[in-house]
Amino acid sequence: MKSTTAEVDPGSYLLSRTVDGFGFTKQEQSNSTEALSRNRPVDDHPNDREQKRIRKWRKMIGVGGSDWKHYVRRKPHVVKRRIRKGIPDCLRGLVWQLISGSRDLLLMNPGVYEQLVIYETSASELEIIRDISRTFPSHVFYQQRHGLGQRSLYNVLKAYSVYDRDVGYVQGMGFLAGLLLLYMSEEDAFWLLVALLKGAIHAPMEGLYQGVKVVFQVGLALLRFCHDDLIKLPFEKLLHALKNFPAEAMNPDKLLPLAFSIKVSKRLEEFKRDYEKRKERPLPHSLPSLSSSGIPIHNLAGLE
Amino acid sequence: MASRRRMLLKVIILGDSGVGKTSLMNQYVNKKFSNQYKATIGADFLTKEVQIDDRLFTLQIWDTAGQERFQSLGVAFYRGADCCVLVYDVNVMKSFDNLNNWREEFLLQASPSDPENFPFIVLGNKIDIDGGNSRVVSEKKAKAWCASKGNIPYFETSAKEGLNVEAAFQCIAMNALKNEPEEDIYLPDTIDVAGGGRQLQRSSGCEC
Repeated sequence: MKSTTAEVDPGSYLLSRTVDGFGFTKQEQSNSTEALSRNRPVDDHPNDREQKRIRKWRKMIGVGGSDWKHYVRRKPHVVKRRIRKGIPDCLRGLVWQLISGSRDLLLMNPGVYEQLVIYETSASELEIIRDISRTFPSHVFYQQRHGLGQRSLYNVLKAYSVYDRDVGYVQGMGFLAGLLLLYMSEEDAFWLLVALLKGAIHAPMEGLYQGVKVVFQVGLALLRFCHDDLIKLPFEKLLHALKNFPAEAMNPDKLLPLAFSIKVSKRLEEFKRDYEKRKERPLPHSLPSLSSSGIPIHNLAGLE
Repeated sequence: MASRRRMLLKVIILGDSGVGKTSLMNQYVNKKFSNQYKATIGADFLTKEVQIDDRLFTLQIWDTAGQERFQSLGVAFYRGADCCVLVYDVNVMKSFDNLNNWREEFLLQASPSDPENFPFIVLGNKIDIDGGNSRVVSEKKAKAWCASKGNIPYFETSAKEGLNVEAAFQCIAMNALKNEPEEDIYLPDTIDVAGGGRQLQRSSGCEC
């Protein structure tokens, strides 16, 4: 039985690797994130249209974000439309911080991040460490053991687990923080993570917050896009197909216009209220220790 | 029409974070090991065709997130399971100590019709590490626990080296099959979504 193993040799694999425009190592065995990123335009040589778009955005933001708030208040619909068309990759780091309000959190809390990273200890440290090398393992920034990427990721996650001790560390946060760190500094990424996970409390996203509605819209758009193929499949193959959407379906320029055209019914709100009500009563099958978490993913599960 | 339907066997893999659940599943289904697996968020699954006594079955293997947080998602994933695989890392005592919690949590959330006799399998994984020198849970200790829980079958595996993985999953498939009543076929066929809602009519009892 031992004969089945030695196919994967990390050394030879590294030699032949190539990296896509977002820094992911290209592999035969892809997953949705990587498939998606491969299809995105690379921003190293933006074309004229792209350049024009970047200029528009720069004007809207102002130097270091100085004009942003003013612009959003005056023309929220323009901002929304431009966001939906896609934020130029080179400005995403800054724009995400402006939209989420994390820039304000950063300015209001000088020195707090450093304090959390250097002087505080977290009960989740071992859990976080165990997942560091398992977060975007195919991305060049996170591949080197104890490299800059892995250290930054650890710092941000540890700081968050101290900052929000009730939640601590939850698997999956790493992929969120890991993505942010590709676009901004550790401290910026930390406050953006705070804004994203505790957004309703700290920074109400200036009315731009779309919440779970968009998640459903994109999900429904994917299903609609692949509808004709999906309904032909037997159950076992259906499972596979739902995990591996064709590249064409993952093209944001096609998928997102379709997603935004879908009206998510008011029932979603009803479901949410229903779920909140049910959560107040103890569920018959849930353990006491598990019922108090406020992680959004649990809300989603309740909507099944 | 229904006579040659292939039966689906649903298997759930549980155990602490990082014990090798994803690796075991991939070693069994794809005969591959990678150092580059991501932490499993929520759950994932793979399917594999298996043959038992001349009959073909589809083994649907559900790989779950090990972090305790995600246990509240269990009900949705555990439902309809035919066998539950409990995995621990022979080099990490806590992962062994937690087997009991995982077992009880599964029984609580899946609420199988006959919990006393529901088939579990225990896998002690990562026996390859450090040539076995960093091991902290002895085979004897693991077997004793398995015996105390109604003689749960026990295998020592290395997902990395492919050791005992095939044998373990053979046993898993056999036990899953034993649990599946002959006539009960779980989601065997395509549901005709486009064809005028016959499924719906049936459930409301109006097909006369």
